Amino acid sequence: MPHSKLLRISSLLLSLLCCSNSMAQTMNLLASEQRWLDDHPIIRIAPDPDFAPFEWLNEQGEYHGISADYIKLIEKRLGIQFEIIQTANWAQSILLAQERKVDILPALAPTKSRKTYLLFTRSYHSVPGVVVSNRQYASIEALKGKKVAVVSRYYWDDVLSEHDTDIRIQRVDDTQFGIELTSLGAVDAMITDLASATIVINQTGINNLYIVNDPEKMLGSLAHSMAIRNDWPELRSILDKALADISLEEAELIRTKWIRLKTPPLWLNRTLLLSLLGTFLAILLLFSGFIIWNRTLKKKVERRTYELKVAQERLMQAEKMESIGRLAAGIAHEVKNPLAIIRMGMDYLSPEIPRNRTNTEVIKDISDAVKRADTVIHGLLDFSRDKTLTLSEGDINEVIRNALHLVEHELHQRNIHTKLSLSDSLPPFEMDANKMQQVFINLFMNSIHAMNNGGELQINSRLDPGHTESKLGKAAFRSSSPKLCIEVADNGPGIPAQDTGKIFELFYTTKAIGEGSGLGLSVTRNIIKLHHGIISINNRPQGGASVVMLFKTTGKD
Amino acid sequence: MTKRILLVDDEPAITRLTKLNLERTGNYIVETVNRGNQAIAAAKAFKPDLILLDVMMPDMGGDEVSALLKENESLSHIKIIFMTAIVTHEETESMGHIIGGQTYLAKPASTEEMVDTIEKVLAQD
Repeated sequence: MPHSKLLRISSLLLSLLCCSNSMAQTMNLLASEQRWLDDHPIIRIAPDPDFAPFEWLNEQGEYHGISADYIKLIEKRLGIQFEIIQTANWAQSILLAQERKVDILPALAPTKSRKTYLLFTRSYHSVPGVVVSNRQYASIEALKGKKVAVVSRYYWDDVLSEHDTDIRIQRVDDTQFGIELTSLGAVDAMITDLASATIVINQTGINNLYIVNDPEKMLGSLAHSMAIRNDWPELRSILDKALADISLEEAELIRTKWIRLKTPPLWLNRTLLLSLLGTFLAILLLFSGFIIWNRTLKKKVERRTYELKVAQERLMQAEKMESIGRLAAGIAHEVKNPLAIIRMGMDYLSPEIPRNRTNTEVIKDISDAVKRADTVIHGLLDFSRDKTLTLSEGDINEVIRNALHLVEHELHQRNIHTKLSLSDSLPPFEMDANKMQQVFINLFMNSIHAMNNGGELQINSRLDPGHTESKLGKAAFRSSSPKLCIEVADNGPGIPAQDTGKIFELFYTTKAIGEGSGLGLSVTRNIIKLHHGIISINNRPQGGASVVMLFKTTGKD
Repeated sequence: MTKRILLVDDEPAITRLTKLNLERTGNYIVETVNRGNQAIAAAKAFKPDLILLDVMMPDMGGDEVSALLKENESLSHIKIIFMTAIVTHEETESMGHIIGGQTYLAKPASTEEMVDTIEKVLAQD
């Protein structure tokens, strides 16, 4: 059977049950009782117009509260409708009952005096009595001789009046006024029931009251019955039967509907819970937003800092290059003119002087000195002007071989072998081939000069997966793309330990006079930088120096 | 046939030695001035076939002198070789390197290099 059909049938059964329950004949009314009901089509009830939560009339005159719900159930059970008589206050209601101008008072606790003119059904609802005070009395016993408020003609008034107590009774018109007097200290305490006290305290926001301890249960409970004019005993038995027919579940439903003796814990309050959840979510959202924003900001700051650092380095480098450029131009102009004079002076004098070996040698020395000075100036100019590249894709291995070819003579002269290990699987590399050739010539010449009495020049090129990064560790190279790695190594004496930091400095050289200007490595590093590469020179464990260059491969990263 | 060469350089030692070396070849008659702003007047008076012109001079630079020569109809045909101390290695790999349509001679040039460049430029047309 489909689930929905089952649901429909069960709800039908339930409604049938309810219907049968509400039918008068199921209540086992006696024929005489039923007849009595038929003979009395109008039964008047006079609720207390202001006795929440038990009963009250709203502004539209509608009857609400615990007793109102019982009355509605009884009407259903009996198949009748009571006539509600509106009164101005409780005193008026009870007066009407005394005069038999109303037939039922729906919420009334029996007292001796009330029983003189009213019949009472069984009690259908009870709530503990309480004594509230703005002072912390040890127990209810301490109220002897004190002024205590009760609502005039309410149950507690009757109870106190009937018992011989030392309590001074202060009668008030309603519970709220009594509570307010107690709060202000105009009376020492007020006796009422827990439900009424709770409602008034909640409504007024009074917060300076204590409940006086009643360990002996002297006060007892306010047990509401329905009071019926005492000449209608038939009605009492009918109402008793109807009340008996009301199930415990129904009674509990009514009680929980109107009375919350315990203020529900904050976390059970739906609105509060929702607003708390909302607040929490808002804070969470705000917080995560803040964290994300913070992180983004941090990243931005880091990136900007890095960019600024790079820009600053570039600027410093550019400024350095510019000043070096100016310096180089100045030096070139000031030095080359004298060099020109020396050269032309040599040209003029050499045919004039006698031809002998010594004179020839002197002339050659002067000529060589001019050439050497000229080379230094050229190097300086080269260094300061290596700012632009003419890029094209090419084979770096070919550039290496060409450079090697150009230093063949020097290699042969010093009895140096070469050991090449050039990878065949290198991607095309975007470079300025002329400048890269200059780099290799510089490096090869350095190695050649370092190996005076023979040795081995090792050159290898490969695609590096990145393991050399840690050694060369530069931020610009912390990327996963493969790098072009070229290594030039020799087995010369290596770099003197105290000089490792200076090798790239302008004019630093360990070479013999006439062999090096101290410009080669500066120019080399400059060219490598222009190719966005890095260069590092280290001594090898097995002796000699090793130059490692890393370049990003074209089109990657 | 001797060629007339005007040499403009602010360094008197250079003009004197260059004049000595070039004239000793017997192929050139050399006139010299040591200031850029004397170059135009000297060119008008001397009517050289070629001018050796220093680029960096204090009062009037070689480029300015060259521009004035080109503006003057009677002088615009005169061939010019610039002499400069400030050219890079690459630019002076060959003597008489041409930069921007102009022929440059890097200092310090030997007499031999100078003569080769002069002859090359005189042969152009």
